[in-house]
Formats: sequence, C-alpha cells, structure tokens
Amino acid sequence: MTRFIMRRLLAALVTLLISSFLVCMLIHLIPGDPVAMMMAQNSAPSPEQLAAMRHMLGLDLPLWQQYFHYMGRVLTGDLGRSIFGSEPVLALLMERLPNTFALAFSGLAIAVGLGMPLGFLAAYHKGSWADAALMAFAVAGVSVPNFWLGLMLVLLFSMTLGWLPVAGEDWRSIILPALTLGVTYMAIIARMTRSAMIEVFSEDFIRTARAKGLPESLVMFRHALRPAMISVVTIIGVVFGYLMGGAIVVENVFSWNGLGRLAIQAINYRDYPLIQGFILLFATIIVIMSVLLDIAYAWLDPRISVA
Amino acid sequence: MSALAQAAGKPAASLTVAGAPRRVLLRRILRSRSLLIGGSIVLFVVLVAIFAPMLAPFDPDRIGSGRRLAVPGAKFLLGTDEFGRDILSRVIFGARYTLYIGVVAVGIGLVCGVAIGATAAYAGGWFGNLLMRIIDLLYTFPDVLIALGLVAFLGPNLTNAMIAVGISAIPYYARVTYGVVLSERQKPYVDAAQVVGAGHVRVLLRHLLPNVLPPMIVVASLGFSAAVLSAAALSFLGLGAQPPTPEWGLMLSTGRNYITRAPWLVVGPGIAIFVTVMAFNLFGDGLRDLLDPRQRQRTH
Amino acid sequence: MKSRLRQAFLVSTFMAGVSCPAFADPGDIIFARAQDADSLDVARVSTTISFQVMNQIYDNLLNLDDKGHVVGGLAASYTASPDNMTFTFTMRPNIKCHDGTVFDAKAAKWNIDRAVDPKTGSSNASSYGSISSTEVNGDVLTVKLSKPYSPLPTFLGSAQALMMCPTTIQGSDVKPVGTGPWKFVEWVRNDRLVLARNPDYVNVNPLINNPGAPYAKRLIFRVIPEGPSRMAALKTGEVTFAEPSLQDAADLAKDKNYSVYTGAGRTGQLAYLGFTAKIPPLNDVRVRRAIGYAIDRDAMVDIGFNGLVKSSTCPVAPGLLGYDPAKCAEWATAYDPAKAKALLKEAGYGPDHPLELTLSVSPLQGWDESDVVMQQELAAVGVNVKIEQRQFATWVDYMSHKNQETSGTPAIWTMGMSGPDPDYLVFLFQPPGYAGQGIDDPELQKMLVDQRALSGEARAAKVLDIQKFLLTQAYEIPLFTPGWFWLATSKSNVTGFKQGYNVMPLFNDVKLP
Repeated sequence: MTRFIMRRLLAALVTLLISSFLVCMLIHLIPGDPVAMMMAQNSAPSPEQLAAMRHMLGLDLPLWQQYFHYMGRVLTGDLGRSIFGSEPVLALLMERLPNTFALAFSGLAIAVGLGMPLGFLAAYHKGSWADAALMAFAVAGVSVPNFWLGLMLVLLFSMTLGWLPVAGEDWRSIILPALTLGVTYMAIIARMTRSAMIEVFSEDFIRTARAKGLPESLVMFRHALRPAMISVVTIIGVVFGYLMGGAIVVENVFSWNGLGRLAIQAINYRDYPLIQGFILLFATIIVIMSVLLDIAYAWLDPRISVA
Repeated sequence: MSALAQAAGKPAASLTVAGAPRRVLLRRILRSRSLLIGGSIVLFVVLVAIFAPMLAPFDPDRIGSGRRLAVPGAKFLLGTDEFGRDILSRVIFGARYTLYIGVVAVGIGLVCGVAIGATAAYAGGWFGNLLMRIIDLLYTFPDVLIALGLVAFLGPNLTNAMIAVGISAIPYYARVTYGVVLSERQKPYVDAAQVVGAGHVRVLLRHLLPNVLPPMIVVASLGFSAAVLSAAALSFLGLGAQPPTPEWGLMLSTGRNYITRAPWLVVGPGIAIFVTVMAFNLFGDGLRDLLDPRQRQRTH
Repeated sequence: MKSRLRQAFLVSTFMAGVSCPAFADPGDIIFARAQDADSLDVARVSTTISFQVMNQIYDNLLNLDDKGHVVGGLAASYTASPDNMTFTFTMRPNIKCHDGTVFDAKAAKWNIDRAVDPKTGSSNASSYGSISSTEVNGDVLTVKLSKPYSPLPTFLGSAQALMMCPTTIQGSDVKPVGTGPWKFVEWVRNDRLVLARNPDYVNVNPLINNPGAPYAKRLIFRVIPEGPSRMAALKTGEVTFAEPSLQDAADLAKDKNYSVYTGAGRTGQLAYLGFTAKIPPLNDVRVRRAIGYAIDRDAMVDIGFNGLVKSSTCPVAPGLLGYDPAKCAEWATAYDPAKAKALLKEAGYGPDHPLELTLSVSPLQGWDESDVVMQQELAAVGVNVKIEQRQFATWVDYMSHKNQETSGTPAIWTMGMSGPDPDYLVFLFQPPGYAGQGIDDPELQKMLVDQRALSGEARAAKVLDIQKFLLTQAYEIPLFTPGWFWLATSKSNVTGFKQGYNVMPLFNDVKLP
C-alpha cells in the first residue's frame, strides 16, 4: 500500500511539473508584447518599468530558464501579484477557494446523493419504464447547459415562487447554484451507477447469496454495498474534475464569489498573473483529488493489486 | 444509409436468437429511437441553418423590428429583445453559428487528436508512450479549464473560442484513436500490408483509417455536442461571440439582464442549445450502439 | 454512505458560513453596485466607480457648495494671487487621520507632490496645473505655478484631488488611511468593500447637514453585476441602496415605496465618441464628420437608456462654465445619414469599398445597448463596425497605445468624462491626454492653456472656442448626459442620501429605518 501511494504521488508530481510548465508557457500565447499588455493602469509605462516587469517575470531569460524561474517563484509560494490592485495572487486565490469548495462539494453531494440511488433503482428494475425514464433524464442532464439551467431555476424559485434569494450572503444562497451543478452531474452519476450496478448484480456472489435464500434487503446491504462504494469512488473520480469545471461557469451565473468568478474577472481585466495562478491552483486541486480518490479506491477494492 | 441499416439489422437478429426478454428489446427500441429522434433533430437544425434567411421572419440584427421587449405573440412568436429585434429570427440564425462553431471545433480536435493518437499507437515505444502520457495528463483536466486558459491568453473572441474548444477536446479524440488504432494494429492485415512493403503512411491511411473511421464518427458526433456546449458557455461568460452576433450563449448572457421583465429572452436560445446538444447526444449514442456496440466511451 | 453524505453536507454549509463574514447588520448601509473600484490610490485611478468609494474615506483640501463656489475643506481657507500663479492654503487645525496620525500642511504637500511627480504616472497630474513648487510654512501650504491656472481651487474640490494620509502608501501596498467620514476595514475585490464610521469626524462640507460622524455604523459597497440580482437584493432588504438597472429605474420612480436618485443635477457627466485620429482614414475630418452624421443620439437615449439620459452636442457637460447647447448645435453633426453617405463617398468609400472600423468600448449598462445601436446605424451608411469590449481599466491602457498609433485598424471609441469644471478638456486633449487621446494641434493647445489664465465671461468664451474647434474638426462627437453610475435607489424609508458633484454619494446624513 505504501509503495502504491508513493508511486501514485510520484506520478502526481510529474503531472504537476508538466502542468506548471504548460501554465508558464501560456504567457507566450498573448498576441504582441505580453509585458506591454500587462502594464495596465499605467497610461505610459516607461521603458525602465517595462524592463523591470519583464525581469520580474523572468521573460528576459531563455525559454527553458523561464520555467525554472517560474517554478522557483511558485515553490516559494509566490504566484506573482495581481496587475490590478497588486495583491499577491496566492492570497486572492486562497480567499476564494473555500467558496468554490463549498459549491463543488454541495453540488457533488446533491449529484451523488440523488444520482446514486436513482441509478441503483434503475439497475435493480432494469428494463422497466422507470429505467427508461431515468435514461431519458440522463441524456437530458448531460445535454442541458448548466448556465441556462441556473437561469431557469432562478426564474422558477426566485422570481416566480419567491422561495430563494437570487444572490447574497445568506446561507440559502448556495442552494440554487449547488442544485444547478448537482442536477447536471446527477444525470451522469445515475447513468454510471446504473451500468456499474447491472454488472454487480450479475456477479456470482450476488447470485449465490440470492440462491442461498438470503432476504433480498440483506443481499443488497451485505453484498452490493461494497461494490457500490467502489463505484461511488470511481464515479467521483471521473466526475470531480468536470464538476469543478462546471463550478467555474455556475459561479458566474449566480455571482458566487469563488475561483471561477475571480477567473472570469481576471480574464476581463487581462490580469495574466492571476489567470496563471488560477489555472495552476485548479490543476493542483484536481491532481490532489485524483490521488486521494485513487488511494481510497485501492483501499476499498481488494481486487486491485497495490504492489 | 444502407450501411447503417445493415449494421442495425445484425445485432437485432442476434438478440432474438438469444431469446431476448422484452426489456432488452425495449432498450433496443429505445436506442434506435434515440438514433431516429436525434438524427431528425440534427437534420432539422442543419436545414434551419441552411435556409435561415428564408425561414426567419425578420432581419436578426435589425433594431426596432418591433417594440422593445415585446411579449411573445402572433407577430413575434418568441417575443423581441432589448433592441426590439425578433428573437425567433435570431434563434434561427443562431443555428448557423452553432453548427459552424461545432464543425470548426470538432475539426480541430479531430484532426489533431487523430494525428496524435494514431501516431502514438502506430509508433509505440517510448515515443508513443510519452505522447499518450501527456495526453492522459491533459485529459485529467476539465475541458472548460483548458479552453478558458487558452481564450484568456489568446484574447476573447469567437475565433479564439472555437480554437480553444477544439484544442481542449484533442485529448479526448487522441485517446479514442489511440485505443482503436492499437487494437487494429494487432490484427493480421496490418502486418500483411507491411510485409507486402507498404509504407507507414500508406498503412496508416489506406488500411488503418477505414477501420478506425466508424468509431470516430460516433466520437465526433458526441464531441460535437460537447463542443457546442463549451462554446456556448464561453460566449455566455463573455469570452466567445461578441454582440450583436445572434449566438445562443451570448443571447442568454445579455438576456439575463432582463430576466425579471422579459423572461422570454432566456427561454428561446436556451431551449435551442439544449435541444441541439441533446440531438447530437442521442444521435451519437444511437450510432455507437449500431456501429460499435462494445465501445463504451465517456460522452463528456 | 449516509454518514459520509451528511458529513459532506455539513462541511459544505460550514464553509459557506465561514467565507461570508459580512452578515447584514441593522446598522449597516449596504450599497450594491454593478462593478468594483479599481484601486483606492487617488493618484493611480480616475474612474467614477473608484472615486465613489474613495470619497467616503478621504476628504478634499477644499469643498464646493451647491452653487459651485469654492469653500473650505481640510484647508480652512485659501488665497489666489491676481495672476492665478500662487495659491496659499491655511490648514484646519487638529485634523486626525484614521490611524491617529495628523493631517497637516505637510501631508497636503505630499499628496500634491506625489500626484504631479512623473514617476507616479498619475493621469490626473495635468489637472493640477504647471506646479513649480510647493512649500510648507507652519500650517500654510504655498503652491506656485509656472503658468496661470484659475480653476485650481475648483479642481481641488473634486474627487480627483482627494487627499490621502501619507501612511496610505507603503511601498507597492495601498492601505487606505484618510480623514473622511468612513474608515477602511477590508476589501474583498469584486465582492465587498467594508468601511466603518469614523466617530471623530467633523464635517465642513456644505452639502452635508450632519456636523459630526455618520449615523450608520458601517458602510459596505457590494458588487452584484446582474441588474435583476441587485433589484432582488434591494427588495428583500439584503442591501440598502442599489444601482438600479435602467429597466427598473423608471418603474421604481413611480413607486412611492422607493426613492430614485438621479445625480442632483451635479453629475458634470458627458459621454462622447472619439477616434484614433492619427490612423487613416480617421485623420480625415470628412470621415470623422460622416461618422458623426450617421449617429442618431435619440435612438441611443431611447433604446440604450430607456429615456433616462438626454442627448447632448456639447463637449462640456450641462451646468459647467461654457456650456451653450444652442451654439454647440450649430457646430456639431446632427443625425443625417444622407450627409454621412455623401461625405464618405467624397472620401472614397462606398458600397464596393466599405469603411471597416473597430468600436472599442468597455461594458456598462446602457452603453452596451448604445454600442449595438451605433453599430447598426453605421452599417446603414455602409460602415462595417466590429465591437471590441474591454474592462475600463484595461480599455484605458489599450487606448493609450492605440490612440498614438498612426497605422493599423482605425478605431472609434466611446468614453465618458465628468468634472466640476470645463478644465477637464485639458485632462483629455493635452498630449498625451487621458487614454492617449491628446490632439497635437497648436491652435487647440494654445486655447487650452489660455483659458486657464482667464476667468468669468472671458473664460467661458474661450471654452466655447475650444468646443467649436472640437466639434467642427469632429475630434469628438458628444452623445449624451449623464450616463454612468449616476442612478441610485433605496426604499423610501431610508432618508438623508445625497449626491455631490460628479455623482459622489454622501452617506453622512443617511438614517436607517
């Protein structure tokens, strides 16, 4: 197990190194001179100011050294300063991170909490009209644009029924964004759970247990639960990254003050250091999460060789 | 069409032989129904896009076709927007942008993805391995993140959004291609072709590609829906199409400022995206079951 | 599985709670705006949205009364030499900054020196005039200029000349410390900016009744970009004041439960269209005038602004010295598409050779719609326009370069300018000029300098000459007035809200129900 974890961590490290390299190189996509583009707020930056900025960003170095320069800064926790307001990028990101986590995990909870039981039921009653309806719902769920769903929920719950606030700092204000995020991924989770469970139900040990005459609820509880847990972990592993991606969009529908909203503001202001920091942090979160899920998976499923 | 019909016939026969119970049959009907429904809607959207100038009752960009924020009615079926432009006409013309964005983005993703995937599978060795490792790495990250990062640095506009969405999908196409080519490569006909002395490019193009094509059509159809969704999201976030383009995502983005007074501004374009994306999903799902029932790939 | 889920729920709600400490308190004034301030460093920004916040934290050296006359502020009194080249300011005694330091003549000198220092790069520098020296003698600050500058005291009464306490600037960090009615507490960019009442405040601004500290405990500026969300927040009482969407403003004005504030006639705002006048063919006055003729201001006012603004043809805002709508109308381009087409044809453009332009703008309610209206109107005379949006701060940076270019894609752009005095024409058009829009024309430059030496009728006449030049040469096409951040609304049981010059909100007198 330890070796497995070590190996997984090493792989994650390599992933992070490569992603940070790509993030570092993004700056060269900017059309024109990136430094001139960055020196916003200053109506007429002097050549010295431009040179100082270039030097600070390491853009006066050869390409391969730029990466080491960048990593040198990143490893000491210095993601640069925001062009607007000159706050440290890391501090700005960390301030928003809890909000994004709150949204993503609430969304995940809704998606898993509703999607799994639905998928389970559909698999159990495979072929019934309920199964068919669920599959239709699943297709609808993966097809609905989450930003539009968000607007429709606002229209329904806030405007028409007046149940929930549109925006604000009230705890209830997380409900609509979490629901928006949750419902779209609930469909995918239901679909994945269904196919996973159909496989589980056809496995020998379930059939044996049933043949032994064990009560159905006991069979389900004792024998289907562990594989079900495994599929939860697998599914979360698949969905988590996409859910985080969805959160970027949903945050902007509901003015939810998380990383996604910060990112769009940063893009609108061409605040490149902030955008770079955002992508790097986001990538890191996803990598860490996938490592954690892999470990959980290995721990849950004895069939996986951990050597 | 006949090839499809043939393909459709085969598994149906085998199912009856297996003495399929009714619910499996139901599933099959549902599947082919999804192909039918999805295909018809796709065709409908394509026709709407082609004949937009004839179908649209008004010029989509003309300000003051009617009163501002007019309620949907006989003259303006979907109402008018904040400029008094006919929303129906804008939704109709929006189909053109959506298909255009989808084709370009899928084109970029498919061409680059197939090239990378096929090269990696065919070359194998450390090079192929490395290539796929990088692709796997990019695949870990949500495509929205990649697209967002690219648009942020390239500059937000429709062209860059299409490029970004296309690039963000490369890992998806590359992985599928890699898998398919790898399994095809091991088949005897490839060796045979090489023994006969066919060059690598020739083997790739003449022998592998035709076998790889059917699964790629499925993947492209599913990828199309993902591309449309991502591009609409970028436009919604203000990073894609710019006004007054009648692009559906952008229409939602400006329309939401009027959501209290004129909710119809966000209904029409939203349903248009939803239905189009669902049509391509259904179509792709149906195709997959017909062409390649074994293959299970993620749709998004 | 159940317990795991519950855990996830608990964790998520817990985190949502922690990250939102600014719960509404009955003693708080919360103002919901569509955008956030750019910076709280007076010398680094010149946007209304930033000044509206800074005006709460910092005070002015001088104030303007409701007739525009200059009265005391941080300086109890001032004198101007007859040649308008030497000014003295006698400071009010015992003015305390929020951090306990003293605001004296030295602090005032620090502000002026920093603003005009080229190293600071302040775009407001030119509005201080050609300052040659600043000297402190006890509680008297003497400012000497190398050229006459009569509007200096008025400028010092404007938000562009707010005085920060020197402790505000610590290297590259800005820690806002002022002498104003509200103290800085925290700023979560693009979310909320929290200020607390300054209990020791002594007011001398004649526009404000309350002689001491504000009545409310805290003043919070919140950013809610979407109009419907701001309105919902106002209606539910989540916020006290909101910038209404243009759609809602008219309805709310009719509703006796709400008060709508429209700038108190002191906005000094004018929105106009400008050109990259060095890039052909926009260096041709005929093409610039053709574009002017193509634009129907009334359509912008109706469609873009729901009739909440007025069209204008004067480069100087209504109410300011030298504003003369009748004269301006003689020189300006009125809506006349036929004339536009004829002029374009003269310049060699027509259906087979259409003029291609970029319309460079920044997003703002009413303006976004107006941009599309303009695009449509220009299309009607055969000019193809591509709209490019940038956030205002980025826009300023971009235009500062673009306006200086002599080749490339020609661009037209829209901007708004406000001030208490027409001297802002210098701020705009004296090279390099704000956002790089300075005009290298000796005749114009001479007039801009000359008006500073005059006063009264003579100055008004000179300002009118400048406007004649700008309009006949079509260096700017005035569009409408006012047009940005001038609307505010609250429930009608909230009393005492005022708007000062250039839509600076005043919260000192606000009493919450």
